[in-house]
Amino acid sequence: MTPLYNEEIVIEKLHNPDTMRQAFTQVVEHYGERLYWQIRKMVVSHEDADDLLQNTFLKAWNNIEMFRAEARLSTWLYRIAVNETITFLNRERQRNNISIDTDDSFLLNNIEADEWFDGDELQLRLQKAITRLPEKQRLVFNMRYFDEMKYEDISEILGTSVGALKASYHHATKKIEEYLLAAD
Amino acid sequence: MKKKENILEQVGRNTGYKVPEGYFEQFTARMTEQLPERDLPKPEVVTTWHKLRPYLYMAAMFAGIWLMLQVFVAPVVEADKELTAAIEQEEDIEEYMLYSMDDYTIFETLYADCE
Repeated sequence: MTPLYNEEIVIEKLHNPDTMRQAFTQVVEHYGERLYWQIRKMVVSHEDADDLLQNTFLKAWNNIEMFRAEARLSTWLYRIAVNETITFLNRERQRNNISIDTDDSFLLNNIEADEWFDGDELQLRLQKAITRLPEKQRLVFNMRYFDEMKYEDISEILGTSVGALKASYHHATKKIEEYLLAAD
Repeated sequence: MKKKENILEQVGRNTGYKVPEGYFEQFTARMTEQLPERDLPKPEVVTTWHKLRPYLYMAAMFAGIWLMLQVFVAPVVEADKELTAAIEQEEDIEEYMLYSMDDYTIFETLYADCE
């Protein structure tokens, strides 16, 4: 049976060489799914999301001594995941010769053939609308709309003020609604 | 307008993305296997002395300040007390005033009082 997750105890164990591996397994188990969906919504492909999730946890493991107990583990992990995702997207844009000003809709090129997507027409349109947003707005929209995260938590992860995040989310929602209505 | 308000609600919060069966359970096992060995220094053992040390240092500092007050400030205050007690005696003050004035000043004062 999996032991109950207690963040305080887990953090203490993470800083002890004798218990850190077992504690880290608990961290992967606890945060894996949340981080996966955060990454997946940005990169679309399951295989890429899987690679990036592994990289996220490897980075966290290799730098565990950098994590300070006064910060929240979730914030720290989300930050690593967001950085990994942004680096990946920049690389993909370069590989596909896509300019920084162009949207990321190229990510959805083969989505209909993707065996790990079974959304209906409306869900596909929503994903198309999201990939047309600027990167930061996409991050904010995904965190707020799908994960229903608090603005304060998003602010800690992205290092942006709550006011700016609210404005970002407002613009993103407006653009998505316009896109969905236009395609209707 | 109503349609506009509801368009996101119509889509809902489902992304349409899915994962292979048992993916998250397998991921944890796969990830744990991949983790390289880490050689972290053993955490420093925090003894009672380590916990009490800052408080003891602070107590010693206050004791030092109190001792300095006793040595340098208390004698001055004691001397001041004697002076204050002396000033409180009215006759002594008058005597002191008369003693410290010259004759000319005394006459001038008396003359001014008569006017």
